[in-house]
Amino acid sequence: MLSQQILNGLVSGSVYALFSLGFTLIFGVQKLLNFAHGATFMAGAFIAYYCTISGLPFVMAIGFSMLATGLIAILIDLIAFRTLRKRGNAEFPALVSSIGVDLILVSIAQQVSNTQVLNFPFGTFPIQFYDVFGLRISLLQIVILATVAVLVAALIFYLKKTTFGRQVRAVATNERAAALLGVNAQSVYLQTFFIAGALAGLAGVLIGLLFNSIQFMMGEPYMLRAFVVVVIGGLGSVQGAIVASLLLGVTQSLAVAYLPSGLTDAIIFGLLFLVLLVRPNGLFGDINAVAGGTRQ
Amino acid sequence: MKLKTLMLSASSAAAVMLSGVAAQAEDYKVVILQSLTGGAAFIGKNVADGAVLAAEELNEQGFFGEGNKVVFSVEDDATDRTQTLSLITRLAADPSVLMVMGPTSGSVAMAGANVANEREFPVMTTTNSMEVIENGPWSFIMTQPASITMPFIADYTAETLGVETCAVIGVKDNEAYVALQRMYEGLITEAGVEIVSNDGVALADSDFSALATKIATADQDCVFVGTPAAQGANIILQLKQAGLDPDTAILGHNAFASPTFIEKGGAAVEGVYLIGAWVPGGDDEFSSAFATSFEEKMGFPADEWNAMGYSGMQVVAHAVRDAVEAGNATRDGVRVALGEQKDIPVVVGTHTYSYDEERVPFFGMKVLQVTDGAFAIAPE
Repeated sequence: MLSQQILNGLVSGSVYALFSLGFTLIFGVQKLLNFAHGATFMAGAFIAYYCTISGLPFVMAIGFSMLATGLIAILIDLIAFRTLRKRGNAEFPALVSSIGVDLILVSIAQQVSNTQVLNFPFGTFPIQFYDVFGLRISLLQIVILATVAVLVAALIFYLKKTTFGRQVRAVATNERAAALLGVNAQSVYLQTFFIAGALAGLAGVLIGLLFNSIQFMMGEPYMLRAFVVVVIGGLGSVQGAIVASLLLGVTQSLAVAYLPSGLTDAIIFGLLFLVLLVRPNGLFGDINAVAGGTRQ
Repeated sequence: MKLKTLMLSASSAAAVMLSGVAAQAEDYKVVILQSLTGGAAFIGKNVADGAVLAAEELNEQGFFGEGNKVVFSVEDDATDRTQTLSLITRLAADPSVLMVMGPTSGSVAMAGANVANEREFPVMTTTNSMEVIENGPWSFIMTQPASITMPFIADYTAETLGVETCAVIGVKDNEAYVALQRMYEGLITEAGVEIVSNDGVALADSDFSALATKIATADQDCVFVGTPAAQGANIILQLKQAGLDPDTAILGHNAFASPTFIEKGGAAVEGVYLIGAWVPGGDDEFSSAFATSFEEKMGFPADEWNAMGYSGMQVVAHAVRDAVEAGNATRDGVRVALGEQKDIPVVVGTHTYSYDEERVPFFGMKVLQVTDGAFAIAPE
């Protein structure tokens, strides 16, 4: 059972990684805690669900959902954060503002779904299981692991090796200096939000498909875990978020398997406190590390 | 001129007569206060939908006498104590409101019961918690306490199915579900069934892969899943996908008695045992008519909580009418009448609803099994 539980944890952790990457990217670049990230995740699942039942092929539904949640995230930035950012000292007002956006999106989803739990129609994705070295793994789990690995690699390449990535790191390090060097910070913010939203949307679709459940409050538990991930991984650290997500997924699986289930959250937050005691800046944290840069 | 005077007189007389009729018509104001948002919305919203349909139908039928009607409004307790306290305090200060049907559950219901008893204002909470009744004479519960419902499925587990070991999965963040689970555990343990594992999930959880693997790789005769319908279907689906022995009996409580359970679970929930106050689609003339009218209005079939809301409003309506007929259409009159309701026709359980001397509701239960994609009475 141990290896099976580790596999379960890696699959859950890989989806946490997709969710947390966007969250940590926004924090890294803007120093903002975007509480609406959970609602964007939920919106991704809802959009893909309604596209699918409207007859759109599932792959196209995923693409449309990622595009839509990317645009929703941009809208959130324009409505909830941009004005506050211009005023300066935006951290606390932005936090409240993002909670407001979260509540609005959740309320809309509740109305749209009539408070019902939705699920993708049976057969949306082939249900196929394989026994590999005594492990029971589904085709969906394999696809999820592969998709997340490819996307994470692409994101890291994008941030480290492209002009956009350099611009992101420049803005994250010092927005004013980046602007003096000709970097359009507003454009960087919008692109960052788009990527974060699209990743959250995809995470929502994968979770909705993997666990057969789409509901208006599905983002809440993931938001809590995203906090744990970004703190354990190191605030703003992309690599840290990936490692911490996988660690969280496996820890959670093992805690459920071998300890009373009521202790799962206590174990997860205990791990958080332990990491903070040993490495106050997180596993990969430099207090100033932001999306690969160093904030001045 | 004479004709004009005559017409004016006639119209004046008609106006006086009409105003007389209007003055005789009475409105009885009942507020449906349920969790339309927040964690308990999966219960409260459905209860409210059922209750609204019942109130509309009763008014159409002239249940309260010609021209009289129950005026209802729907308010949201938001699964939040502060909002509930504020709303009940405000409603209690409005003399036109006779009673509140709600709040929904948990600490919110208890908070509502507290303020209702302080203000001498009748409330019928959706919860099954005895603490609400014990709080004072003005607070009632609508659903049967676990001590009434759970023996049906516990007896079936231990005696009819004859299982020896059982794994239990429950909801850890809702007191009504916790109470049902604890009662079940106590009853089957007394009957000699060993509980081999006991796990809790949160209402918003959907990832049960670790739990499913743990149970699928363990050895037990039965798995009891004490969660809402959609979540329960999802857990059972994941249990089956994790390789649970097909001979393991799977049981649940009355929350599973919902079309959602079969719709979400598909073939995975075939053979699951449950108790139900509501048989989806109805099982007599009254309940079948409700199922039809609910689906026509809402566009989806009624579930257990819709049926409970509909039934609860029937009981409230009878209490209001009894208070009116007793010449005491006051809050106290309604409170007294509510506690005396016996054998009220409802769409749940054994189709009659009664409060006993302790104000504990009883309307019975049935043991059901998912058979060929539908609920059927379980074999004895």
